[in-house]
Amino acid sequence: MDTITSNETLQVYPVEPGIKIPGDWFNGKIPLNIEVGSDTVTDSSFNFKHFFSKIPVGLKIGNNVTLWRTSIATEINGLIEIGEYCYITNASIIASEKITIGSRVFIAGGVTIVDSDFHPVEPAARLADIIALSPVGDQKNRPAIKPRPVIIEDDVWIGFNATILKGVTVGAGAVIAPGALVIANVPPGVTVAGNPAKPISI
Amino acid sequence: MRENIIQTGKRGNDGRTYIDNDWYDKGIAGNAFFGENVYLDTSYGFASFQSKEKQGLLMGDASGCYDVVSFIVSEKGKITIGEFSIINGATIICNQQISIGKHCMVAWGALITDNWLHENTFNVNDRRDLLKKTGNDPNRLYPFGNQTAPVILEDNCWVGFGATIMPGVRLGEGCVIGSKTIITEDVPPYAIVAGNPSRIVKYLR
Repeated sequence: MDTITSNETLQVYPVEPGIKIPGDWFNGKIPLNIEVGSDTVTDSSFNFKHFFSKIPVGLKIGNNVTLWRTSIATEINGLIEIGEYCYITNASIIASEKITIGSRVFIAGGVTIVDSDFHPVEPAARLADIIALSPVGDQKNRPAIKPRPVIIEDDVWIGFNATILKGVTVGAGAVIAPGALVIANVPPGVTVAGNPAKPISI
Repeated sequence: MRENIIQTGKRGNDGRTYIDNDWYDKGIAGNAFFGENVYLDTSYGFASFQSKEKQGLLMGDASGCYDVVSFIVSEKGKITIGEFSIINGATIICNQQISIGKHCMVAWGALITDNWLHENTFNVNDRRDLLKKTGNDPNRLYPFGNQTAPVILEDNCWVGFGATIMPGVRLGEGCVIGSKTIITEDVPPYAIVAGNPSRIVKYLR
């Protein structure tokens, strides 16, 4: 075989409300109820497969953001806000109420950010929830679950496979080490690691 | 014979390798080579395989990549995967060399990387400049850093789901890496390593 070199480039397309991306492998559309700045791109409408928000604006993104193989997921009242120049790959951002991400935030592969447990913890309520969610149930009967919004401030760097749970504020410039499970606020500029995540010195 | 087995030398006119019935139709770069009876679910994971090396990837006989295995490989990246090894839904980030031995298992959500993606992860200004630069690049290619060290998995390693193998690490023969464990140092042969932060739990031999 002669030298055959590859010529791959990441194929990215502008995120525009309501459009179908040309040549998209996934048969879906970018949602209509979003506000997007200029030069914000994604690889596929698959990023929005679980975007169920029905509020007037369920997603606000600034300029020059890259969303690549990322799940921008919301429940019907969910809102996700993302600043500018963020680079988000292969992450899951799942908002029941509100997740706010600042500017220049890097989110690596396998990261999960959630603002809710999505199901009750108490066994009887959890059982009722499972029945309401079943094919024969009615989702109107789901027990109320209290979400707690998540805030990721500017210039935060989130490492591979890290998890950020409900109610957490990650302060500006903080670094979340790969694999960290963040359940408490992270002060600005601090690096945290481990499960549960604790500040480490570097 | 199972479906999705890549037949040796089965390439399109463009030199790329195509898998029958692949839901993602872009195929695999020509400098990825496959032994006999290699199994691949889809070419989707090769969308950011940018190796310009003569042999960017070699998968040994009867090895397989199941679900989407993301190969995020720079122009200089070289990956070898030994015979009978199974990679399932993992991510491999390569800027120099990643060698996976024979009879290894790598589970879903695991990361193997030979590259610290930042020159200086802990400098906010450096990170800002990098994100500005990347956000203004039309192709949005995230630059690889210069701090690179080859990763070696010796034969018969088992990497649990969500585990992270950091640059420069050598996993000894027959070792087991527990789920969601972060590995920053070499692992001795036949050790079981688990936890975050990680520790050696016991030896199998």
